Amino acid sequence: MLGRGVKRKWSCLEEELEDLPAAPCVTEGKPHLNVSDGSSPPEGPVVAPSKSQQRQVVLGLCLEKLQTGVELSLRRSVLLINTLRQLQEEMRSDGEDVCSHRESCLLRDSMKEDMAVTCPDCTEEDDIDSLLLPELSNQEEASLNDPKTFTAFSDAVSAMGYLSDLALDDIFEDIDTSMYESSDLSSAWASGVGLWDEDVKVKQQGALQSCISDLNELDHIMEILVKRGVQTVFTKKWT
Amino acid sequence: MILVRDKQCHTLPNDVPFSAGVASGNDFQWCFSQVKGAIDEDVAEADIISTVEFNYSGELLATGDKGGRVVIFQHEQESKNRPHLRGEYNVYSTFQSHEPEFDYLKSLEIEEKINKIRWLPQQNAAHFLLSTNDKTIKLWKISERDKRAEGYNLKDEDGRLRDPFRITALRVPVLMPMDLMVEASPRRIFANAHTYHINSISVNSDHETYLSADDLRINLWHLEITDRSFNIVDIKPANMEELTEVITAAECHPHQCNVFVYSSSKGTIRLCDMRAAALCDRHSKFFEEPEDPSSRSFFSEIISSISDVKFSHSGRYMMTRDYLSVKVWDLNMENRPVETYQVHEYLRSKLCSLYENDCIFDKFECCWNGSDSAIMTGSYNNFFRMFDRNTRRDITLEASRESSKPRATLKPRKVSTGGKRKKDEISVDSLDFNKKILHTAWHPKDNVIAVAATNNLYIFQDKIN
Repeated sequence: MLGRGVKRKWSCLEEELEDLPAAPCVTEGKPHLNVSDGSSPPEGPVVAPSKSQQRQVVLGLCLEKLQTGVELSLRRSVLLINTLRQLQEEMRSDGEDVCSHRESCLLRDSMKEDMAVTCPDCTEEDDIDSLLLPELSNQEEASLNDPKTFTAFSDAVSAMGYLSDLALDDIFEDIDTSMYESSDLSSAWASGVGLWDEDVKVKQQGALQSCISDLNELDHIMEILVKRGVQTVFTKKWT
Repeated sequence: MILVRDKQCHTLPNDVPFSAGVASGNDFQWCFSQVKGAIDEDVAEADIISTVEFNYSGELLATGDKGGRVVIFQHEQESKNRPHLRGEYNVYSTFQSHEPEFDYLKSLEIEEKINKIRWLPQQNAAHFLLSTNDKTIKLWKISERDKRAEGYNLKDEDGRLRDPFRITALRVPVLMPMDLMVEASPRRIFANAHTYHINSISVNSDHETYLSADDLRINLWHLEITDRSFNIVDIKPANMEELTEVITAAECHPHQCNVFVYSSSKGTIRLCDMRAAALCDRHSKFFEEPEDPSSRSFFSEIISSISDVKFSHSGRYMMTRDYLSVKVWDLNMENRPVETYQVHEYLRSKLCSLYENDCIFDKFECCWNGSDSAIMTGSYNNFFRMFDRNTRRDITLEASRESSKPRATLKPRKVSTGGKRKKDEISVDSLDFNKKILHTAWHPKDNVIAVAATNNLYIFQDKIN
């Protein structure tokens, strides 16, 4: 692993990833807490030498929790997101690696795939999920610093899907049908690389289009929502 | 004056009795009175108690559980030869308050779990209470019937009306005594007013209105009107991206019907005056303690989130519970609490694992004793804590089956905080975080307390020496 402040190249990150077991999943990439056992000093989890490590652990857990949260507790989600924000602030002020534009583009490519996988959620894409957008650039830093948290990065994308569940209540009042106008979309989708925030917006729309390309009416979206809801109930029942 | 207490500065020997409130002047100890609920090791999720509440006289004690049931206990009448029955309660009525539902429009499952119960002041022979789950509030009437009308000749035995031409005489029915029957009937259902999950209900001192709070909004209802409510607080930002704060609890002032407070996930409390405007978006008072930079950690915001707020009976103070402490605020001083009590400061070094296992999001509640001189709140390992505001003493007690012999004195518990563990002390690492006491209630006039420990309800009473 490279030392702090040394800029990484995508190529070396790729090599590190190859060393890991293929297709890292959440459990494999799950960070372990060294600070939680009885041997930790009583002063608390904030111990100077490993602070950035701990930050990554907390960050990873944050993302994991946001993704796997079973019950929809808005309080818990808001607290987790605020913690993410705080971690991002701290990382910024500590001047940790800020990746180059090229690298972030590559990362975004992998994100695109994830977006397509979490497709059903995309239809529910709403105001909340953009909450995580600022944090994504934060995870870029994290993922570039530590390949283990790279998995957490893709978790974030799924976490967005989870978060959008929360916004279900507002989907009907806030839904913007102009998003589904195909002419608009294809041009945006084709334009590809842009500024970070814009780019994500475009990608969300792109993913959206890929799964609702032939569904132009609100009724169809409703149908998906209801189906999904029933699925959730079933999975809840049987798991 | 700020009083900061923690285990380290707790210098009292264990055998000093804890005195509290009502029986001021008399030192007493707490002793076991009763335990309700199954002894089984396997706890059914539906049996987990989710709220506990005494009524205004203390004669009735209501519990709600995750299965949507409400169980009401009634105080056992004392007699001269059995004066020890003070803290004994027997089941009075049990009913299914809420059923699981599914919101098809929003694709959301609505749990039947009872989030809160609030009694209405008694106005006639019947008792009324409000119970709520995440979405729907119900007003229940609990009434007794010990007589039935007999001797009707207008109906058959199976209840069908007889042919009027066959009836030649009119008989007046007579009231016959029968076994006491307690009926619970839903009188009002207040639905469809909350988009988010209801966390609090509070009956106003005008006895005509009540408020209900969810994560982002507070509504004001009239107890008689179910199809209309007034939105008095709305903190939902136009753009949900900007959401950084949720409402965690709300309560009406005990005497001034225009005043209420609500607490937030950022550790602040807002006091609002309904006379100022119909929509209380702008608070009248804002209670916040500046953060101590030395104790800052990744979890600062999570642990400062307020899980409960309660006015004192006098209406002069309010108490808030956050993850590690309980604070008493004077309504006349907004910049800091007048008293701060550490509930389980030894967990500060464990925050990372409590975060990992999600315990850090537990919502502990707190309560006042009848005279506002003592407060109580829960902890882990089936421990609960009491703080005497006058003597500045604190005590840790345990709700456990082991010490549940009739009138057995509760032994104070101690958690060792670093260094060598003394005899009778329990180390932080051996605390059971699955056994948590989130809900407690203090009898409004007597030193009788009810403590919910998972699926068991413990009742303790004082023992005057």
